[in-house]
Amino acid sequence: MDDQQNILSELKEISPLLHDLKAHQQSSFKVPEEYFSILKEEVFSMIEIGMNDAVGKQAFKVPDNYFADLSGRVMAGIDEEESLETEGKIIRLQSKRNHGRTTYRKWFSMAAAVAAVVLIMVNLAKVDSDTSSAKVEISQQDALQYIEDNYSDFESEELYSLAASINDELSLSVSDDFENQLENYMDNNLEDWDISLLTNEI
Amino acid sequence: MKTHRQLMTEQVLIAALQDDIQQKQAFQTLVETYQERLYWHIRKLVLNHEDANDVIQNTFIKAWKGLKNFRADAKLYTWLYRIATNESLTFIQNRKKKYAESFDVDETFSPANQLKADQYFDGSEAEIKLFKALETLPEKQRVVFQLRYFEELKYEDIAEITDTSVGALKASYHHAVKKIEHFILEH
Repeated sequence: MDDQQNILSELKEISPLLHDLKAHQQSSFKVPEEYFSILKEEVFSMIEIGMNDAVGKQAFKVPDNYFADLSGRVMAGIDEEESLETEGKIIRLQSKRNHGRTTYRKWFSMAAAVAAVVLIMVNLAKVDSDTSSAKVEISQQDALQYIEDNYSDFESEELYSLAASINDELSLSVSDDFENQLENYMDNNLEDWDISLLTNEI
Repeated sequence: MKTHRQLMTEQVLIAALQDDIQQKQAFQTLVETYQERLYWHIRKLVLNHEDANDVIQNTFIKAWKGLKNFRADAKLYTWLYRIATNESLTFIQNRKKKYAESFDVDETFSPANQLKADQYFDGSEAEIKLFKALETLPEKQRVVFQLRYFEELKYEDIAEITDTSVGALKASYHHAVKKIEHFILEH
């Protein structure tokens, strides 16, 4: 720092007005009490946070010499795959990624087909109720329960063809109430389903 | 008995700052040593306390991050003043921009106009006028004036902080003083 006297002399030469202003200058700016002790703490804690962040960036570790023998292990894996292929080529019919979704679709289709069969049975029972000697009373709840308990016993191929043939021969009309119940059932019991899948399969 | 801080000369502090083991402790010493000087420099540029608080924190964070780039032959305080000045100017530019965007007005934002209502300012009308005059100066001229008039730094140090020759600084300071005088007399 220059000697304050030099600065004042220089200023006086340029502007006596500013020289006087500076000579009478007081500390007009204030800070909150204990500000500088708090500031110090705040700065240190921000630096600590920054240091922790920096440490966090290096948190992922790999075993010693991991990269040194990585290429060797990759090549060994490729060799193994190739030797399997020479024994007999395995063709994947569906990707692993879609496997879960396909299983769901299969389940929906089967459930839908069973639902259609039971629905028709219910409708036929109602139609014949006047002429039949023994009345068949099957509630929609019973039908849904039946699907839940037994759907796995049906062969999906049989169900598809049965549902398709019934759909062709009869103009199947499903009551709104039953459709709503079926939809609610699917909502409550399945994680991911789509009504369009169901109707497409039927 | 002298404190740890007093015992440490600047050269020792610089060496400690560049040593991984001592770095953190040395930086604490640096903050304790320079926080008040830097705060007042920043405060006279941005004028209100909350803004000065933000800027000084950013200044120290920048300093911490930039320790590896610090040249051992440079002066610690001119380096810190340089960071503080740049941070303040960036802050002032952003504040102006935000004000213009928020209020969609042509009028220039003037923190000096708000000094009267500032609970952390109790200066005279003459002082408020001085800060209003400072707002009319070009950025670099204002910095030169403040470093000489308020901080009482040598031209050589101001030259290092602002990256300007001493001759140019003297001329700049002279012009700034004249402009301020003119403003005060006119208003």
